[in-house]
Amino acid sequence: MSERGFDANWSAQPLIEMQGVQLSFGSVQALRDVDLAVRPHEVTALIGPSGSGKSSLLRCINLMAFPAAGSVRVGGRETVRAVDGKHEFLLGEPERNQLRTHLGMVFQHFNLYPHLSVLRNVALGPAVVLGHSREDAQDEARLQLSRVGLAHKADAMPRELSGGQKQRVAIARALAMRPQVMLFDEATSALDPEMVGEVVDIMRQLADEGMTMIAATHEMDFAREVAHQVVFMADGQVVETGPARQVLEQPQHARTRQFLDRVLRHAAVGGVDPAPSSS
Amino acid sequence: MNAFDWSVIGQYAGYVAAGIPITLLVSAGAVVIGIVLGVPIAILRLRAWAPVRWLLLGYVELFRNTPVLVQVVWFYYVLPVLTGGNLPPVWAGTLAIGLNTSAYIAEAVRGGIVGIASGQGEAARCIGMSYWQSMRWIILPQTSRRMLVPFANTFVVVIKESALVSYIGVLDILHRGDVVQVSTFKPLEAYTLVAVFFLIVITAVTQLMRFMEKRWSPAVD
Ligand SMILES: Nc1ncnc2c1ncn2[C@@H]1O[C@H](COP(=O)(O)OP(=O)(O)OP(=O)(O)O)[C@@H](O)[C@H]1O
Ligand SMILES: [Mg+2]
Repeated sequence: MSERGFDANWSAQPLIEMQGVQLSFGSVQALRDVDLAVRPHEVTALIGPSGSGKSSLLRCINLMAFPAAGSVRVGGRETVRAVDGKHEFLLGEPERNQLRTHLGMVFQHFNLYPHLSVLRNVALGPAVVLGHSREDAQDEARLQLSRVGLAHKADAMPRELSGGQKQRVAIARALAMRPQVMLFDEATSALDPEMVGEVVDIMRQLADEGMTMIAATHEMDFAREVAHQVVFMADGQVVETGPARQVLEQPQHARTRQFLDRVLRHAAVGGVDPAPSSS
Repeated sequence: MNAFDWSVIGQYAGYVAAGIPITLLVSAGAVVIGIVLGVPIAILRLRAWAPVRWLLLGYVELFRNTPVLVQVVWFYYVLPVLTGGNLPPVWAGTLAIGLNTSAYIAEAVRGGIVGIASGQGEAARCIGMSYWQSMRWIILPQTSRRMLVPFANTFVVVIKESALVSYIGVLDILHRGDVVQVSTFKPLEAYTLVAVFFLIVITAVTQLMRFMEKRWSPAVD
């Protein structure tokens, strides 16, 4: 994998590590003293209310945001270190770009390129970033599209797809870079309920294949059934981390319980528990 | 007041219409200057070395916050000083209006770039594209499509502004109207001719632009 420039040990334990990470936007503290460790081939579900810092955490991993304090390691290599609001790059800009080729990212709003066909959306990265020939890039794109069940949409334009299909293309686009880790930022939150399943199924399939994943999600079923580790965040802090069952079924902190109560009640269609919340 | 003198119209229509190519030349030249300078300014204002960004901000503000007529006159007097030669005033006028247009285009394009950069540009960076690769493959192709309509509108605005070059002696449509007015003492007829010819030019250009938009601007979601 060293041909991409960012040389790392992709079986490092942990594969991704954050220590004491802080991130602020002006006076808003998006992340406060966040620690995180992700082991290879494991799935981490990030849960927490809106604004709790899930996106911010993911963006510190792929260096789309730079911490004000703390350090981040990927594949055993420190990628950024910051003290007192000043970050020190441990990677030059080309190497930061190369790092990102290993970290696939999937967004809430898909962010497909509307001026390119589905095939070119997926093939662009391998062609432009990895320098594959046009044929190789398109072969790779077709392969990844069939992996998400959309080979037949290769020539469609993004606007002709449903939300679920768009998100599957976005996943194929990330996979076409052959990443070592996949980051999902609420990949199903913008979807109509009937389309959530098709995207979750693909995430599940990737997990089964051993992909290391970090997924900010509101899908508690996914967290419970697929995640090895669940991280609950609130107000920019990691409140609770642990094996999925433990955090979801025996949460240690009141905030976690409160959050789970609320989310699970919402999820119970038909109102299994009609008791009004006291909080 | 005498009745409208149609004979003036008949006699001078050709003379005033001869200003149409000049008006179009000045306008087209200004739009080309505006785009050629405006787009790089927009890109550099987002990414360049800080002093360059401040310089460009100053440039944009200067041109947006002084009257275009003042700019035209200023360039008319300063250009010969700078070049040492005697450039025809049409150059000074085209340059002034073109630079002014570049300031507005830079702001519009900058807005377009920022709008696309936040979602798709970020997606491009996240698969490992450099800033310039994301510009080249994602942001600029879409900005140029989205800019087609604003650019067409700019062209119409610039045609109207081009009348300012009459002030420095360029024989455009308006200045020819002045000439007719002076020699016939029929201002109403003279400036009716001017207005009608501007209307014709702008309508024709608008239709042409609309046609081109239909052909070249595929629906973008
Ligand atoms: N670019 C930004 N500028 C200013 N504030 C920001 C920015 N991005 C995030 N924030 C703030 O940082 C905090 C954490 O935001 P973040 O997006 O990481 O939360 P989140 O858990 O992903 O929320 P959501 O569920 O709404 O996506 C919030 O208070 C948010 O308003
Ligand atoms: Mg978020």
